[in-house]
Amino acid sequence: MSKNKFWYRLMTAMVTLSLTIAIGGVAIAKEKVVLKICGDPGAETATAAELVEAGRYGSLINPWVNAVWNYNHPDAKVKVVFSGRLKHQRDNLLTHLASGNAPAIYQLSPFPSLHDAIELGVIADITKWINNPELKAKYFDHMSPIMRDYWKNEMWLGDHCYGMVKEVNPFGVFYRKDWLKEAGIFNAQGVGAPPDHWTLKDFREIAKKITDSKKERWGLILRGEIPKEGSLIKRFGVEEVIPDKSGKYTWRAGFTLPTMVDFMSFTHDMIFKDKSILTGTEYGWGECWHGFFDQHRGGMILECLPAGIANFAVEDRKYFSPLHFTDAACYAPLPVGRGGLRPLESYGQKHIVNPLLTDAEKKAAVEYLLYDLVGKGQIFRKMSGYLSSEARFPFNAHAFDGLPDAPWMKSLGYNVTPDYIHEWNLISEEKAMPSASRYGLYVKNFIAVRDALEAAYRMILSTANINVEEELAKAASIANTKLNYKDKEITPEKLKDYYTVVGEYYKETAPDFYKNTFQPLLEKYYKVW
Amino acid sequence: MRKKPDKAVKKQLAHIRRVGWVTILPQLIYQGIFGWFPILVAFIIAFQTFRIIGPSTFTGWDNFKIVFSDPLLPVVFKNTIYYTILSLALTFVVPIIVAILLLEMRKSMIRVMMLLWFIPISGMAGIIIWKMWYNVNYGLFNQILSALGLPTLRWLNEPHLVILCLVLPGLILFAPGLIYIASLQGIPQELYESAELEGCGFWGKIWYVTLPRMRPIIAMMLLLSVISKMQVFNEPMVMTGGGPGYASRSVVMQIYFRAFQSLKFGEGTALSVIFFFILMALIYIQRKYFKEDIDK
Repeated sequence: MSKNKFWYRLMTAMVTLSLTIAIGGVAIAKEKVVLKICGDPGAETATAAELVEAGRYGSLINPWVNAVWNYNHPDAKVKVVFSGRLKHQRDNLLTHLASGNAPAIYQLSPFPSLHDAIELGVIADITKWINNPELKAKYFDHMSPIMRDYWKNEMWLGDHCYGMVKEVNPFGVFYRKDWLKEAGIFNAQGVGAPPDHWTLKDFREIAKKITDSKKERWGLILRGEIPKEGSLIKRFGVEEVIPDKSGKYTWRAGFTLPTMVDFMSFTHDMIFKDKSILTGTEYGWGECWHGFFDQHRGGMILECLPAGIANFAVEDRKYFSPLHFTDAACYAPLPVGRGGLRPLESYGQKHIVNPLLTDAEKKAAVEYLLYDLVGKGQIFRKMSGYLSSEARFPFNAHAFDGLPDAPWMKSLGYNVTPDYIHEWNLISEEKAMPSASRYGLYVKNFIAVRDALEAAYRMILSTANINVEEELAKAASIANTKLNYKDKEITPEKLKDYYTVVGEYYKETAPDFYKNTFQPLLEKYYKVW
Repeated sequence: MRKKPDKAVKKQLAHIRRVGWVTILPQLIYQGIFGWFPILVAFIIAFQTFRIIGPSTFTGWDNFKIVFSDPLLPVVFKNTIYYTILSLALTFVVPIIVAILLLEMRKSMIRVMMLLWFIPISGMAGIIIWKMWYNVNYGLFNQILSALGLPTLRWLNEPHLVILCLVLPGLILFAPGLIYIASLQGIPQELYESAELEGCGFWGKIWYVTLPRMRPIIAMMLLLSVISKMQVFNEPMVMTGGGPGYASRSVVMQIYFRAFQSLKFGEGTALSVIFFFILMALIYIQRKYFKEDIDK
């Protein structure tokens, strides 16, 4: 064989072999997925040793969960791309989205509402993966009722699911046991506490009794805004928007209904007649919580019961009052509302999936979310004292049974008194009201409607001599300019289904309210079918 | 007949021009990217339904129609104009008076007084402190009123008082006085001597010499103040959030709420385009009718 022929044949053989290996490799290689996610503050920058040294155990949870996930799912790893809470996450997220570099999973909170997020195109419909029978069996049996109700109410629009929820915390009244006891208000055990199943009248009386202008004490610290979750508004059976009876539009503002007038007047009277509320249009959550309540100016404040209270991670403490870690305070359920109304209200983080992911990435993202928020991720959180879904309430004394010892829990102190357990059991009697979105109902421009209601609320809580009904009528006329549309997707049948379910809810949980308030309002305002 | 410049002069002029362009080029690029380009993009977004993910859709004049039909539009403009007029009336004149009076003092005192009057104060820190002073229950002002036996006020919670409350923190910001002092120091002494010879007293000199000579700088500062006050955002956002009701919501706040709270970027940008033209019209009027060249 000549030299040239030899080299020619050798080259041909090598090229053929290389091509075969390359094609074969591509054929057998699995699609690898990398999910970019957001993390809690500090998790992506500090090492585990630094976090432990600083006592930031809370920040260890996510890296731990992520590490175990990555170990068990090498083809669908997660990677933290940015971290932050609240406003920082919002700004970060919008920037990432606009630059085309969005994470695979992020929170819904930066967007005005679930429906707005759908309209903006920033949220994936994950129904097909959520309904996967394997995932259902693996995860959904473990969800607590609180979490399940909140998830259904907040993340479903009709039959479509748009995300998962985390850290679902019910709302209550955080109160000063010592002040109540001083005012002669205590329970059968002699501990300062409001009566079980206290009413709005009791609430108002207690606020007056513990108000002491000489000691600069107010009965209640109230934010200068109506939060979406955790105010007294639902105790009055308020409907912020109602169907349009004329049929010209879909919705009208419900601000002038007797239930809304009742709520506003009640609050106004507590501020100006009883002088038992410390509030102001300029007071947000921070001022009320840390500025006034922590400075011993208020005896009560409406706040969500942190499900993670057993997690004493240092960086989380700043979100709680120092009174959380003493015997001076406790939580009670929100007072029973008009006609016996006691809807369970909760607050939780809502996590959604990037719609631009491939199907494989979306499937992995959904499974990761379920793993983190419902599955094994929760076991890790329990081990660090951070309870969420497995135990229905964080003060379940048996929640830690069968788990390995977590030595740092004892050293940080663990203060759950019987009062907490008792109050939690009262809260457990409450049932969440079904939300409109579960029945495929939504309101476009809802945030603008809310804006108008907030404006009226601020006027009412800051002006002594005000005609509440007139102010609400003015706000309604502004809100209605944002509701001047007809949405063909919102049919009378859908509205009928929703109000039927709501009626059943009221009939079961608050029969007086159902008979004396809901039914008349239904006939006069809600019924468009 | 005008002599044509020779080659050497032409070359020198060309070189000077080149150096000039090179010197301002970085600033031009910076201004282009961060100043003019966003304005151009805003004009485009105002005609779109802008989506964060996915393509935006052209909607013609829809955003402008929504903005003009918003019942809050006259409210926010009224609040903004009221704030601007009140702010100019109370805070524009004070630094001029301070600057004039300062220069009447002994030279040794001028340095001390300049230090005392013109200490830089952080705007945002000042706003937060004033917010605390306005607190209905614990604020300094109500403590003083109570101590004097007077009824307390609700300050930021009072719809008829809230704009005044937002204006007052600006009273202590005397920094523009430094610019007036520089202008005053440039007035020739001979003019004052002539005025004295003509029989002018202290106020006469101020009226006939000082103020006319300061007119160009006052015109410029007035223009800048109007633009700045019309764009008020920090004070109402931090102190009141636009409340009570809508009593202190400004135009820029409304733009912010529509664009960043409701994520209706098209509507927010449409309002900002309208506002842009209004401000341009104000600038044009001011430049045309407020003659600055006092020697002409």
